[in-house]
Amino acid sequence: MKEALFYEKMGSEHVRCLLCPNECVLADGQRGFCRVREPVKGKLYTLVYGLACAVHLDPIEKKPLFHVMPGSRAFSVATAGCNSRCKFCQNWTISQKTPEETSNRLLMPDALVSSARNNDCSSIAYTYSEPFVFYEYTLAASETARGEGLLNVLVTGGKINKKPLQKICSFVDAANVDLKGFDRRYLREVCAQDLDNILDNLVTMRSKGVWVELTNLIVPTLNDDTAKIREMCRWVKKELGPDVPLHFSRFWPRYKLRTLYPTPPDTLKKARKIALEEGLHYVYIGNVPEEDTESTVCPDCGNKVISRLGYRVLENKLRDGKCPFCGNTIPGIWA
Amino acid sequence: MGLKKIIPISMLAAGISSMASQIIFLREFLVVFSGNEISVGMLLAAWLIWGSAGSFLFSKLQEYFRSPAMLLCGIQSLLFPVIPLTFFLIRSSKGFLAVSPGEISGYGPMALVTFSVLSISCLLFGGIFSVSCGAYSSVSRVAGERAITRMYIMEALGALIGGIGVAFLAIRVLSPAFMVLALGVLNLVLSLFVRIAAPGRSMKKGIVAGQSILLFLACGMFLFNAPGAFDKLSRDIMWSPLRPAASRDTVYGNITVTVSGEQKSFFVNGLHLYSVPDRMSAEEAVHFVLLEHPEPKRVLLVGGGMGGALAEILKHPVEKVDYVELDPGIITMAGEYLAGDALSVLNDPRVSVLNVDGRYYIKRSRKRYDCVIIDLGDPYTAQINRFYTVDFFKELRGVLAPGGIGGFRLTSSPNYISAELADYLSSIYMSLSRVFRGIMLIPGGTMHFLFSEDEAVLSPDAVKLEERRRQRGIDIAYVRSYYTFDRFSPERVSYALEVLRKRSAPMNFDFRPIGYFFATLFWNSQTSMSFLDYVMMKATRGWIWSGAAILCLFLLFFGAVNKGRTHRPVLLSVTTTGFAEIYFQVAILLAFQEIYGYVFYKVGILMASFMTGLACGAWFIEKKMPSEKYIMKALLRTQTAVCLYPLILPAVFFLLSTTSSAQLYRLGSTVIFPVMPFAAGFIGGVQFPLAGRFYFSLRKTEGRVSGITYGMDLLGAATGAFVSSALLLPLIGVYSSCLLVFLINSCAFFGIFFSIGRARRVKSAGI
Repeated sequence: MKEALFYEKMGSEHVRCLLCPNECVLADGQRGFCRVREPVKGKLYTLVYGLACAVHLDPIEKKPLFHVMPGSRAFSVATAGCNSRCKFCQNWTISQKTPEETSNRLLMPDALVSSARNNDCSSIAYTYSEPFVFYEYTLAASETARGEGLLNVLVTGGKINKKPLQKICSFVDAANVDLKGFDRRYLREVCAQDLDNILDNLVTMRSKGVWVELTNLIVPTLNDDTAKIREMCRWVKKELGPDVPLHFSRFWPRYKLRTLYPTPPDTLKKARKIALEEGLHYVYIGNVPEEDTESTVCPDCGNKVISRLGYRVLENKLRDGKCPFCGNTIPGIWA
Repeated sequence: MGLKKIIPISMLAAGISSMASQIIFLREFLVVFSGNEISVGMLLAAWLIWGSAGSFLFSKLQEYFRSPAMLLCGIQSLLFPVIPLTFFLIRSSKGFLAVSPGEISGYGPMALVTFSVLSISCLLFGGIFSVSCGAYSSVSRVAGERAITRMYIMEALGALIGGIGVAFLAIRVLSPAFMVLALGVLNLVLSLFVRIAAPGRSMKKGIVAGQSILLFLACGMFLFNAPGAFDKLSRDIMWSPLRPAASRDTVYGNITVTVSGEQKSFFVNGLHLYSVPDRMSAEEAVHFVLLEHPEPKRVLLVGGGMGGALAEILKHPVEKVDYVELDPGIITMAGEYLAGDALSVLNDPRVSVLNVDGRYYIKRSRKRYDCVIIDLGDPYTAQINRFYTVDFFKELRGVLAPGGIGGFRLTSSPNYISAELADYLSSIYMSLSRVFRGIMLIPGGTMHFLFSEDEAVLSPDAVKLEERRRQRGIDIAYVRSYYTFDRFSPERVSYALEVLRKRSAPMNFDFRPIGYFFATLFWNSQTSMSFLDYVMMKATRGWIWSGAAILCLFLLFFGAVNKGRTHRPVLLSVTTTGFAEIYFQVAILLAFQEIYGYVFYKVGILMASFMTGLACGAWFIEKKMPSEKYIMKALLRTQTAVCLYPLILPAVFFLLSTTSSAQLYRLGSTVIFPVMPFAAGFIGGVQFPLAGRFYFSLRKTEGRVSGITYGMDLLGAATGAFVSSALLLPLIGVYSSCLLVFLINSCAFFGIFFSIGRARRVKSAGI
C-alpha cells in the first residue's frame, strides 16, 4: 500500500480523490469507483502499487502503436481496476475486478524495469486495464525506466484530471488513447466516460509532447453513425493535427454486450474512407490482414514506407524517420 | 351439455393452455436471457410458486362466491387477454433489463422480471385447478376427493397434449404469437361454455352476448393476419436495435438472422452464433487443427459449418468431410440467407451432411477421422455440455485415426484468466487430459484446445504451420505466422497451462455435468454478483451433504414429532414427492443422454410417458380409493415406493451403461427408459389423490383441500427443479443425488410411519 498522490481531505471523516473526474468522496474503508483506492485513517492509499496481475511480452504493434519503434517488443503490465465501465471491455477479468479478486504478483518498479531490460524490450507498456488508476505505480516505474533508456507507453481510456495528467506526461513517451466514440450519451452510458474530459486530455498530451495514437472501436448500431465518425475525424484534425494516427478496430460480442454482431468489415472500411477524406494522414484498420490497411503510406508521395501484416513488420523503409522516396518526415518515435 | 361435462373438458383445456404457455414462455425467456439455462429454473420456480399461490388464493376466494362456476368463468375470460399480454411483456422485457441495447442482464433483474411478468397468468392457471375441483364436486355430487382426482387426471392429460403438441408439433408450423393468441381464444370459448351452462342469473344474457361478440372479434383477427403483425411487432421490440431479417423457432430453439450490408449474422437463443463472412473466426476454427495434422484426409465437423468452417476445411486437400449440425434448422436458414461460396460448399462431392445428433453419431460411428472439429461454442447449457465431458472425449477417441487430432475452442480472456474462468477452462482441460495424452493450448480471447492420443503430433510452431500452408497452397489470412508467433508465444502458453493445471478443477462427466455449472458461473461473473452466484460459488459437496443432513433433521422433527397433527406428515410427503418427481425426470433425461447419445425427440416420449403415468396412477387410485381408515396405510405404501425408486434408478442406469449385451442395450431404449418415467409418474399420480382424500377426511372443503395439496406439490417441484439442475446434479452427480432424494423422502416415510403407530396406540388405549 502506498499513499495516493492526488487527493484532499474533507473534514475529519472524508477524503476526495482528485485523480480522475469521478472525484470520489470516500470515508475510511470505502473503495473508489476504480476499485483500487481506499482511505485509511483519513489518508488515501493506492492498493495496487507494484501489484501486477497481468504481465506479458507483446509486439508493440498489438497495442496498437504503429509509429513507435516498429517491430520492437513492449514489456506489458497491468493491475486490477479501471475508472471506466465499458460494456465491451476485452480485459474485463482484470479491469472490472478489485485487486483482492485477481491473483497478483509483486513487481516493484525497479524489478519491472529490469525485467523489461532482461527480456529485450525497448519499452514498458502500461496497458490492458487502465494505467491511470495505477497512477503511482506507472509514475514511479516510468521515472526509473526513463533513466534506463526504456520508452514508456500507455494504453489508456484517457480518463484523468488535468493536474495528474500533466505530471505524468513528463515521463511518458507515447500513448494509445481509446477515443471510444464521439457521442456524449454513448460514452456516458456504455463507458462511464465524459467526452469533454477525454478530448481535453488528448490536447494536453499532445501539447506536452506525448506521441499520441487513437483507437476507435466501432460497435454496430451503438456508435457506427457515419456522421459522428466524420465529426470525430474533423475534431482530431483540427485539435490534434492530421498526423495523429487513427486506428479503427472491430467489435466482437463479449463481456456485457453479447447480443450484438461483430462489426461488419464494410463499416470499418467506410470509417477509414471518411477519416482519409477528412484529411487525416495515417488511418489504419486493425486485424484485417486481407486488406492492406495496416501499412504506413507516405501522405505526400503515396508510397508505402512501412509494410505490416498482423503484428509483424515486413519491411521498414524509413530513413531517419523520413520517406525514402520523397524525403517527407513521417512523425513518430523511430529510434 | 351440462356443467358436469363442461368442467372436465375445461380442465383438460386448462392443462393444455398451462403447459403450452409454459413451453412458449420458456423459449422466449431463453432468447431474452441469451440462452442462460438458469432462466429455465427461474421460470419453473416462478411458475410453480405463483401457481401454488393461485391455488391457495382462489381456494379461499371461492368460499365467497355462491357458484364456483362463475369464478371459473371469470378466470377463463381473464386468460384471454392475459396469455398474449404476458407473451408481449416477455418479449419487451429486454428493455427493462439492460441499460444499453445488446447488454446481458444479471440474476437480480432476471429474477425480478421473470417473477413479475409471470405473476398474473400463473396465479390464474393455479386458480383454475382449485376452482374447477370446487365447481365439479358441487354439480356432479361426486365426493370431494374424487372430484379432485378427476380434475387431476384431466389436467395431466391436458399437459400431455399441450406439451407434446407445442414442443414437437405446433412449433414447426405456427409462430409463437399465433399460438398464444389461439390459447387466449381457447380460454374465451371455454368461459363462454361454462357461463352458458352455469345456473341462471339475471345478468347472464348480457354477459353471454358480450362474450360472444368478443369471441367473434377475436376470431376475426385471425383472418386479418393479426398474429403475424403481433409476432413482428413484439419481435422487433425484443431485438431492438438489431432488425431481424428472419426469426424461426425449431424444436431445439430460436434461430434469428440479421443482415447488415454484406454480413449476415446468426443468433441461436439470443446469443451470437456466427457471422458470415467472418474469415477470422472460420479460419481459426479449422486451420489450427488441420495444419497441425501432416495429412488430413478425412475430417468430421460438428457445428459451425455454415459459419464458414466447411469452406475453410475444403481448402485443404481432404478426401471426405462429414458435417453434423446440432440443429438442422441452421442449415435450412443458411440456405435461405447465404449465397454463393458460403452455400455451394454443401454441394461439394467431398461433403456429406449428416442429419443426426453429433453425440449420437460419434458414439455409434465406426469410421475413423484424421481430424475432428467441434465448433459448438461454450457449454452454457446441458445440451452443449455433453460435448465436453470425459465420457464424450472417450467416445471421440474412438473415431480418431492413429495420429488423429481433435480440436475445439472456448471463450477465454486474452491477458488474464480470472478465478471463474480458470475453474471453467480447467474443468474442461482436466477432463480432456484424462483421455488424451497430447494437449496443445492456444491462448487468446478464445482458447483453442487441440488434442491427440499421440503426444508427439502436436507442437505450437508457427514456422511449421506456415510451411504446411505453403505446401498445401492455401489462401489463409488469419492463421498465419504474423499472428501465430504471438499466439504461440511460450510465455503466454505456459501462463495458460500453469493456471489451468494449478486450478485442477473437478472433471466434467455426463453423470456429473459440472462443466456447465462452471461455465454459468463464469458467464454470471460478467454481470454483478448476486446471492445466487454467491451460493453457487461457495457450494461444495460437503456443503450440500451438511445442508441435506440439517434438512433431514428438520423434516424428521416436522413430520414425526407432530403430537397428533396427522396432516403434517401427509403435507411433508406431498412436498418431498413433488421434489423427487421433478428430480427423477431430470435424472432420467440426463442418463438417457449419456447412455444413448441423446436423441432430441426422445425427450417428448419420456415426458409423455411421465404424464401418462401420472394420469394412470390417479385413475387407478380413483377406482380403488381406500376407505378413510386405510388412507394412511396406503400413503405409507406410496411413500415407500417414492423412497425405493431412487435406489432402483441408479442400478438401472449402471446396468445399461455398462452392459455388453446388445439386446439389453436396445431393450433399454425401447422399453426400459420409457417405462421408468411412467413408473415415477404413476407413483406420484397415486399419491396425490390419496393425500387429497386424507385432507378431505379432516372435513375441509374441496377447494381448500385441492389448494393445499396442489400448492405443496408444486412447491416441492419448484424447489426440485431448481436445486437439482443448478446444484445437485453438477456438484454431486446423478448417483449421489439419488441417495439424497432417498434420504429426504425417508423422512416423510418415517413421519407417516410414526403417525400410524401413534394412531394405533391411541386406539388401543381406548380413547
